[in-house]
Amino acid sequence: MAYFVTVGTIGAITAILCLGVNISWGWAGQIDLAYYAYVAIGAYGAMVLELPKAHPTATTPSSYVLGLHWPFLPSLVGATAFGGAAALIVGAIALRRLRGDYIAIITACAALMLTSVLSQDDRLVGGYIGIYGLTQPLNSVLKLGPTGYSYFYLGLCLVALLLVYLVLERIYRSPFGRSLRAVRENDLAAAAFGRNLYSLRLRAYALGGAVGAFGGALFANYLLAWSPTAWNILEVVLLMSGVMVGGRANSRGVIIGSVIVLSIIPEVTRLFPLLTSNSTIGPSAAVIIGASGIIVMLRFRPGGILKERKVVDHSQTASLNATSPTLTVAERSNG
Amino acid sequence: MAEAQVPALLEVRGLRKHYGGVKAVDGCEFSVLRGELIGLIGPNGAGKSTVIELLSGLVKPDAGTVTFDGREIQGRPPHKIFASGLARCFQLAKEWPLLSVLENLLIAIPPDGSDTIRHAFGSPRRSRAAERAARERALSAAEQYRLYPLRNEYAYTLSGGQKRLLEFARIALAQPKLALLDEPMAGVNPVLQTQIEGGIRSLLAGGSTVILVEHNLGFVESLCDRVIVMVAGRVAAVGSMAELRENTVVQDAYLGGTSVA
Repeated sequence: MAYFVTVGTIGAITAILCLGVNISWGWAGQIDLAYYAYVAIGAYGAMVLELPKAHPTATTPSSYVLGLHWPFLPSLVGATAFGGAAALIVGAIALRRLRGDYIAIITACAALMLTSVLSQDDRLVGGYIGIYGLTQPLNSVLKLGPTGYSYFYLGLCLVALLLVYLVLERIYRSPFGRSLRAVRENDLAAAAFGRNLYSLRLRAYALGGAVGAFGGALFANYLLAWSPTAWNILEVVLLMSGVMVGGRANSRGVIIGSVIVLSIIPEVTRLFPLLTSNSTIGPSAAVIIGASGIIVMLRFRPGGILKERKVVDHSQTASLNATSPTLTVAERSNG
Repeated sequence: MAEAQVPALLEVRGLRKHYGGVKAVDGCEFSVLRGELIGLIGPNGAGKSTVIELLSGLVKPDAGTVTFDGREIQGRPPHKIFASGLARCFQLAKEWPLLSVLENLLIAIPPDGSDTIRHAFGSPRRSRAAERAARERALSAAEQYRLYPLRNEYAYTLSGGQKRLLEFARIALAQPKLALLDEPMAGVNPVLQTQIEGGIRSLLAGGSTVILVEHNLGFVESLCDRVIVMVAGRVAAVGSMAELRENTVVQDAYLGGTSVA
């Protein structure tokens, strides 16, 4: 049972991370390879806000900035803000003049630079050693045992996932989401109808960074430690494959894709060594099955499991305000 | 002349855009009066569409000034030019394919700052009322341009003619001071042409000024009082269609010698 709780907790956090990637990639149409850097910023950010001041000793050599000893929830908010701010800075450079592939290149550069800086300079967030020593959030109040706490944290992550889902659905259907999708569909026409492309793209990018950092903060509070080995640029590609299989720009699809590609496939293939004499077959099989699945999806259902949904207007007449406006989202039927 | 006393809505002076050796627009000068429907004609490659691109800000001019409604707008970003009241339609319909027809129409209504992330939550009653009003306007435009039954369809599913209607309906919803229509009737059947013609007239009736790029000279003659003829990146002549038919420069360059189209 504890196994399923672990898989569920990490699965919920991963789904949040996929929803964040989906903002810049699915809604705005940009490939953001720096995304995992915002996840890391969120993770480190939450830790340096929650932990007390660093006192490096021989047994605990880790040193880090801040150390404000904030409670869990304010730290979560702070970490989310860090991620959004970092994305705002990178986005301000990457999105001003560049398009498409060049945005991917610049964001990859930003992520690699950040990895180098954070892993080399051990005064910032502990360098290669990383940061550890976080206590289970809220458990000083709850006083749960190990099993009870794991259930609690699973519930917390699921609630967080639901919250992120609801917030993003609302933004997707709002005038902001509509403008953003118009920019993705045809940016020149959107500019000709008064949309500030740079501002819309940048706001979406910062929102994505904030969601990533939120997920990262939850992750760090689950692992209670974070180090450069926990993140690299390839993680973004994995998250994107989850988004692609589930359905770009469809939040429900993204969650399904995340669960299939990043939870079910790796966990099922973990059992493979039991069937053969090869003890290392698990991770390789996960990659082979996952990659084959993506190729099959691209061939037979390029839009993903659930395609982008259409915002449908349900009012009966165009005249007067007799009907209250009810805008809902319906599944794209085919094509 | 008396009309010289009235300040023009649009004043184009020395406008130039070269692509390498190609002088797409080369010292183009003209002015458009408030409330006027002016035709812009010329042979293919004369620079008509480039002028539209330059005026709407999607392409930056190499030189020249564009004074619109008393302010110089050359080189400003397109969204600011749109906000100042100048809207254009595209020669090839540029709908937003994966947005519904209604959403396509809603985008054309200036958002007035309501398209922010903050406004998605607990938006002030004022902005919710604005969104509702925008929706009503978009739906009645859909009705007017025979798109109402299609309002919940993806824009990419529309036929070519329907896309032209959508393109035009967007301009009508934007209620611009100046509408630049780049061949709005190209490839449209006669019934829809009549519809778009009616749309152009109601744009004028609503107080808009219109520049119409059009190859069908019959339409130009029936709709426009004044016509600008562009040849090789410059204005070759300005006048009524009847005057232009007598103009030898125009005849040689566009109308095909002495035989009138």
